[in-house]
Amino acid sequence: MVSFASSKTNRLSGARRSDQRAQDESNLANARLSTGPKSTEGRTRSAKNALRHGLSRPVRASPIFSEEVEALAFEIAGTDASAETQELARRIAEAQTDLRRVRYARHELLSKALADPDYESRASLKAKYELLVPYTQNTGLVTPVPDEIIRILDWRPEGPLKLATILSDMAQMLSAMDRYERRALSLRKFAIRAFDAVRSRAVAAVRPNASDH
Amino acid sequence: MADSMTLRDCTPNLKRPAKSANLPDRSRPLVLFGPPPLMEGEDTQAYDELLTQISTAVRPADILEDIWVRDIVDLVWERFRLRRLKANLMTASAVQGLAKVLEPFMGPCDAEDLAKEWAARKSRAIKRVDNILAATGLTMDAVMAQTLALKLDDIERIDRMIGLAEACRNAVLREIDRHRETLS
Repeated sequence: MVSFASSKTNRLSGARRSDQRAQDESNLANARLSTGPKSTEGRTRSAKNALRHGLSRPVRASPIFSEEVEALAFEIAGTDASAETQELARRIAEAQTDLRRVRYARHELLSKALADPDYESRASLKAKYELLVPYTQNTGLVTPVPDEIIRILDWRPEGPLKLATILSDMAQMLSAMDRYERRALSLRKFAIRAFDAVRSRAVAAVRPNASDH
Repeated sequence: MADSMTLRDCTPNLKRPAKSANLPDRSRPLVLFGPPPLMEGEDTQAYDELLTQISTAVRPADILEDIWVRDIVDLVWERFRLRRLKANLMTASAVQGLAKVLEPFMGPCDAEDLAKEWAARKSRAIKRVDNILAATGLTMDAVMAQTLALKLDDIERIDRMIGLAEACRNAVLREIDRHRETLS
């Protein structure tokens, strides 16, 4: 980051250079001010972010996933594989297992919400609460609530409305999971390319011998 | 399949697999890929059919291609699901769109009541809605446009998800091509 800023500054001259430097310093000062939560509560909450779905934990850290990785790596490498091929196969297997874990987590999140008959969005709950407020104010006692209000309170989204509501409510969480998925996909892609390159070299090395016979 | 997408859309012009003698035994069941990502009410048999069709078209030659085929199937399935959701969401929300269209002609309460009766397919309500729309020079397109406006955020979100699934599927297809070319 620093080297990028300095090279950018080098390309500029005179007054623009000093303006750029002032801007860089100002950006840096602002960045120092926004380094995450300050309060103890905020820091505690932020520390738990990664634990909500556990997806930042490497698959190697879990004995169950490790077993899966080894089994898949063996399937990929095949028998009589060299140490290099085995290692590359393991990298593919790790990325694939990670990918499966992310997709499973997302699927579970959506499926559980869909299967919950009482599922309701926060916005809807808030609106219903506000609807009830006039009937509970002042006296603290619940006065008879009209049937029309009861019907609204009992209403839950169903079918396509429910899934659309869930997707909307969980947009942030799903977007975080998408990032994990893209990362795992990228790792898998490059691991497979490296694996293919080694396999291709091995095949090329065998071919001249084969043509001798 | 409720969706009109053809198999050609899923697997366009893939290169034929390269023959390799060093591949592991592929007759073993591929339990490592986990259960199909089906949601409540989705048809397992339809998923299996899609898997068979795509496997037949791609003809995976090794376990890596099996992994990619499974990716394609899951992404195509997700695309079907999202397209269905979009269509059903528009249908389910049409009552709100109609109420909004009728509102200027009869006030919000009456418009909502009439729209509800129309959604319940009551013949008297259907006739009345047709008459109002005809008299005001509107068609059901206006209702669907109003519905789209009401549900724009949801529809845009679903469209984005469909776009991501398609981009991901295309990337997988390119990887299969590259893989086959490297090993050919």
